[in-house]
Amino acid sequence: MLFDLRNVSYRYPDGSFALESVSASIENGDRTVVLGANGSGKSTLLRILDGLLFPTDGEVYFQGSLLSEHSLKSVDSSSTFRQSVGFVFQNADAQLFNATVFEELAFGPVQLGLSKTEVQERVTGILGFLGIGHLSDRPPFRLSGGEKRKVVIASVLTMNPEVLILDEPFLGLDPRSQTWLVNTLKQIQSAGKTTIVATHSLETVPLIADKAIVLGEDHRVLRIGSAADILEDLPLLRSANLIGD
Amino acid sequence: MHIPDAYLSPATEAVAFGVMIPVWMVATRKSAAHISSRKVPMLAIGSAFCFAIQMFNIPAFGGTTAHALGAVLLAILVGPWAAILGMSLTLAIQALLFGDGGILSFGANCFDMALVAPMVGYGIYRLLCGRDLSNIRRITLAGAVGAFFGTAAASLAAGVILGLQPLVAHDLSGRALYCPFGLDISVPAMVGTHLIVVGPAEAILTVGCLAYLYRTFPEHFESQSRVRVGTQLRLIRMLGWILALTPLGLIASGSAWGEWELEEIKKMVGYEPKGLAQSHPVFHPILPDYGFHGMTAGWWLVVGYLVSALLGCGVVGLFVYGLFRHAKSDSVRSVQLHSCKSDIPDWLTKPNPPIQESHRVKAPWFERTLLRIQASLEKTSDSDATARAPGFLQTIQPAPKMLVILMLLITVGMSQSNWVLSGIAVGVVGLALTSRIPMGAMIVRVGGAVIFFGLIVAIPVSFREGTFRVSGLVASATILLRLADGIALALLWRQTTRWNALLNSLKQCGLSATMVTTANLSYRYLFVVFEMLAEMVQARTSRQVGACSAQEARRYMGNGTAVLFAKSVAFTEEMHWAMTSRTLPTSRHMADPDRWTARDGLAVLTSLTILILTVFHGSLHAF
Repeated sequence: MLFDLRNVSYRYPDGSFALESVSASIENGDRTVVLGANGSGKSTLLRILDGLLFPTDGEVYFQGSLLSEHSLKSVDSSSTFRQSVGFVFQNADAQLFNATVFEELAFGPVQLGLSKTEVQERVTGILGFLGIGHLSDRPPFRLSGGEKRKVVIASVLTMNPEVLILDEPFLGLDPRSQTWLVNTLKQIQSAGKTTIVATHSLETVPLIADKAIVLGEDHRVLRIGSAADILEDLPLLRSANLIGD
Repeated sequence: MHIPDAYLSPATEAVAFGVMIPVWMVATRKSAAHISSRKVPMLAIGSAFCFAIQMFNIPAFGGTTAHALGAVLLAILVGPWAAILGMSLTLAIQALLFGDGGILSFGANCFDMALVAPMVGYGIYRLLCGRDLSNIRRITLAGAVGAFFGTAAASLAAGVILGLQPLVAHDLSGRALYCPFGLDISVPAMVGTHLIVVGPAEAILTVGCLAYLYRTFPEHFESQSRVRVGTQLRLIRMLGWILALTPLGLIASGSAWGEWELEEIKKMVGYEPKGLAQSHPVFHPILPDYGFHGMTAGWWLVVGYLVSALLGCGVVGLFVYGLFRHAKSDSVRSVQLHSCKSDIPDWLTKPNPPIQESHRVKAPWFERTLLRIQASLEKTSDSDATARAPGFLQTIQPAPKMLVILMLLITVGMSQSNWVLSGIAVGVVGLALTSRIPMGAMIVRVGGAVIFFGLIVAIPVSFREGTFRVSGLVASATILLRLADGIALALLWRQTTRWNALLNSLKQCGLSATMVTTANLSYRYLFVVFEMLAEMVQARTSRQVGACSAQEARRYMGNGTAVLFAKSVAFTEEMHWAMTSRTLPTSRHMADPDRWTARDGLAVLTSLTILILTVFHGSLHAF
């Protein structure tokens, strides 16, 4: 089992819940979506999976070992975890902190301690794979919204993570870029990677996922099951506020 | 360099305001001509950015800390006059919202950091840049040198202002009433730290931002090309001259002060401040073996200053070199890349090779500082909640409340009686209780400052010439009480007044509408900037394999600052459009003055009575 969440809750400092007793598990190679309306706790859940936030109650296990602030402090387990799990933020701007696109993509591999030629190979490989070679020397925050999203995904892919977590990746993309993203995700999935995607755009769900976790507006799990079944269940989608009345 | 209230005599504070008020007026007029509404958000962001920079304390000698200013960078980006306003704004936000630097000493703080720093720094920058603004190396180097000496000049000004206090404010027996250190201590202490630690940091920061901005937004530099100062000089020769001359200039003024002290102060004050200097241990470890121990050390001092100036410039030079070497290798590499889409790379379909064992040390200083700043920002928004609570001070209108607080602050500044000061302290506690201010936080804030400054000020005063004296204890109690009262009053003011209302009351006092808009934007922007920073740190954490070394952390910090600034600038454009579409500078009309209620009048009258009584009481004692 890749991820195992047991009764995970997350409270803000003011005491209100972002997530309440969520239990779920994610297997190696799963294609999962996290569905939920705005403010239902999707981003918090993903951040907990990526070890950026830690549950205020309950436990998260990654490959059988407990994820905690303490366990991620030790250099070794942190290294294994960070290179196995890649995270694509909802706000692309926040994620791009390097001076050029090339440096942005090289950041991860350099952290992995790869040699210069290997870093070069990885960066050019991904630039080619995503078709963004022409952006290599541009400063990331001067790109268009779609280009930024591509660069963000590229910067995570150069680390070759086993798990790819994407927070609202379709947000603000035009139809052609959406198709591009779906195809890219499919390629990554067929390469054997696990993907966890948070979204509230239902039309892409059957293309990129087999399994869905639905969060309600009370920050609890409404249903976990096959994506196809859940998409059929209109009353459920309505109560999760994913479709209008 | 932020001087708190009660460190300076009211006379000094008045003089500083006397200098700054015309400067602000001129600056407002000058920058109104230069600054289009397009640059207002830029100025706001610049101020917010300077604010952020100033919260990163760098460890300095003897356990003290110091911080960079960002003043020269701001001057280069928006022009020196606008920079004066921007820095003043930053300092105002710090004084009003964070209690960093006093309210009455605001004028003096502005003089050092908002007038001297940008003016000297920008002057040197223009002098070194000459007419040619197309050469990025020259621009960044000139910016670095300007930043270095601008900071040094500001620290010199602060040192002199502090050092003058024992001369201008002392009681009949010669005890210092305010800052007790003479020029012989305050100037080398301030200038030394800033030459060796802060100056280089400031220069590196300026170079980083300038180089980055030039590469990213060349248009910001073109607009300045019409300005020219003096004839073209060879950059290297110029640098050499400045390097050689500055320490000499410092020595010259130093020895002049020294002479004056030996001959005049003994007569005026009745004791030698040197005795004071020798009897307390606080500043001695600050001054290493550079011959800073008083002005008699002769040529060692010259060597000391030269070495530190050279050291600073050397660090900057290396940094610039590294910066451009890096940039070159970047541009070579990207030739064969194009936008064609290729297949999924082979390595992406396989798992990663195991990572090598790393023995690197974790250096989370940057993150720690960030979290601290975020926490303090959150506390500030808490104070807005207090300002909405139904308490006594909240019911008084902002403008009369400002009058009340200012009069009480002046009373505190002028009073020399421990009874009056204790009375005011009791009154402040009463006001805090009736205004529903969380007492715990207030005690921590006031107590922390009193303990910190108490150790620096009160102990040397009570242990003059190596022996403990009751009169010294009384004097130090006065200083500490004044400090506590001042900080508590400022806290009362900002905790019970909403930021908007506070600005509004300033507007009624004649602050220009553009300034109020800018102030408002800076304040909002603080939160945006820090949210962005925090997200950037999170984003890096998620891609950070293992712990990063101290060197990487530093590199990341330098990089991060520059990127953050560039991002902010990119954001200004959008913000400007958003503002224009909502027809920004409509707020030209004056804010409607608030109707004063009987309660407001009563409050103002009471504090006026306290002020008059204190002054009367004080003059009775004096004669």
